[in-house]
Amino acid sequence: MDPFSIYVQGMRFFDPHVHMTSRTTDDYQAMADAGVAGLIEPAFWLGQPRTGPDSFRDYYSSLVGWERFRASQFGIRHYCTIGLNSKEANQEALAEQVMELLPLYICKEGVVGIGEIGFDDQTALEERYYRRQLDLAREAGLPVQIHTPHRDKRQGTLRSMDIALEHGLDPSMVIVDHNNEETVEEVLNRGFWAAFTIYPFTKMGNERMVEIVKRYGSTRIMVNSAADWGISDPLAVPKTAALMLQKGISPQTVKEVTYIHAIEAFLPSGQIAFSDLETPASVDQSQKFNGSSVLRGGQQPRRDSADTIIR
Amino acid sequence: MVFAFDAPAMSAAIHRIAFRNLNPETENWLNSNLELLRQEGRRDRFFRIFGAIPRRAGKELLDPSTRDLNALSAELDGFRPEGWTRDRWIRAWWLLQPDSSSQEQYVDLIESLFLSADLAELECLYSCLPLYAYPESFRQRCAEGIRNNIATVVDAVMLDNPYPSGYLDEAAWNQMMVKAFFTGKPIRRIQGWDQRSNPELARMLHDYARERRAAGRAVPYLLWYMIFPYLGSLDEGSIRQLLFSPDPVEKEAGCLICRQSEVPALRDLLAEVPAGDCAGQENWISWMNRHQIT
Repeated sequence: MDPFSIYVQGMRFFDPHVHMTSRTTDDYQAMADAGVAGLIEPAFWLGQPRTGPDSFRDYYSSLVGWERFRASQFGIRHYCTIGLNSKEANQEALAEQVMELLPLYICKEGVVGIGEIGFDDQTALEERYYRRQLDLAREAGLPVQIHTPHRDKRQGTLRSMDIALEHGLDPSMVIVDHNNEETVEEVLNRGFWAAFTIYPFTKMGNERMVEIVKRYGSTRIMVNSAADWGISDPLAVPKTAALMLQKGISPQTVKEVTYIHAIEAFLPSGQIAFSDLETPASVDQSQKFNGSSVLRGGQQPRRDSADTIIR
Repeated sequence: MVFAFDAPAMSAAIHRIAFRNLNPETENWLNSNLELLRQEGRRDRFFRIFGAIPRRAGKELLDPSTRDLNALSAELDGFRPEGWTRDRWIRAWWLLQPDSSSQEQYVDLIESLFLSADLAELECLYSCLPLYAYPESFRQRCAEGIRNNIATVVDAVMLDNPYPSGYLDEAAWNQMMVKAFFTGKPIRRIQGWDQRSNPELARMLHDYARERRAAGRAVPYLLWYMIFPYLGSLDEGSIRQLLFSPDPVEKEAGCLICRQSEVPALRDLLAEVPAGDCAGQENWISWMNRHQIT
């Protein structure tokens, strides 16, 4: 099979859900090479439970600081969503403290929404903090990025949407993520954004994604990689684009589901614009004028991973 | 000492730049919040406005005149920021507004901003180190900024900033200079880069040069200028390498060192150089400028 890159030469992509904190610079370089111009990193758990609010604060700081800078070194614009994830919402005392931290971070530069929030096991505590964060999002006028549970997904997705509507959120401000064949129809019918995570073995595959787009069109559909510390692929978005083109989906449709819609959904935050993504990231605008020798975006030295020599 | 400069005058000078051609809506928002800050003295208002400034005022690159900048450096020597966007100028002005009567409360207030700062806020806060009251209280914070891994944040501390040379002790200063060489910073934009040279720094930089040579990597040119006053005859090996280097810039540096050295052995080395190789060398400044050494 041909390398996917030949199908997507010159195309630009946006991955609205990827956990770069758990990925290496090799991934950043590969993403940049494949045409990923921007991404959104949702706040999530770290694989093992946090034990205090300072851990959350430092993590949020890294999302609006260090990780943003790290991405810019590869010419990629990094945005994030901030929130208390569903898993850690089950630690009540900690959750209360995190809720106090959130207002401080949700208005930082590059924060395009509240996320990724929702249900994991669908416990009462998860529900409580999901509702409170929906209120926060509504008051702040921010889009919401919803993590739908991997177990009992259909039921969990329906409940998530019901509650969002109950709290007065406009469906066009809500991105329901990790959809599959069982959830897509309801999500689209109710006017929500439907995001699909292309992730090997456990979530959506891109051949199935092709079928979904052929069946439902592109309206309010977007794809992401949700690449994290597990076996996942940060190139899922460009690869899915390549497969779609191979299978006869129009370039315009492909552009919508792998670039346009992902950006459009988060525009209401005022922290992202299409024009941002036209030029590669350079974190500090004034750098262009200072003539400093700081590495600009996309100017990392490139290593050859196949080379035995490391110099 | 509370402020190292006339704070109201500095505030006015920054205001002139930050508020020029600012839309009236944003100006009113800032003025009314300043009024409230003065009346209530609430930390949360101070933090919230600081955070919100980019959204309200935008990130237009401002172009202060020489006169504007002179007004700043007249208040505080070396403070002439360039390449700042509107939000940073306004934030700098805002940072001069809180009540500074209690050292403990003031320092805690400013420190709190650092703890939850995003990228743009970090760059702003570090570049505004010269503006804080009780400047001695921010030495650790300055050193922390230099330890930061984000290149633009380190630049904000090191470049065009009078704070480090004014307040870092020698050990911290030396660490900063070595890191600057290590990470390829434009050294001549570090204020005090020349004035604060010292023997220990020269030793560290000379060791660094030897390390680079052993690794087959280039040595930053300016490093030779910085260490030459401290070189003794024992360093003949390094200087020979310069004098006979295929790199003309290094060769010229070697000539300058030997010609200006007080050590007879080094001056004698010049005799070993082919006639004409070291001819017409003016001085270090012309060497730096001619080769655009930063």
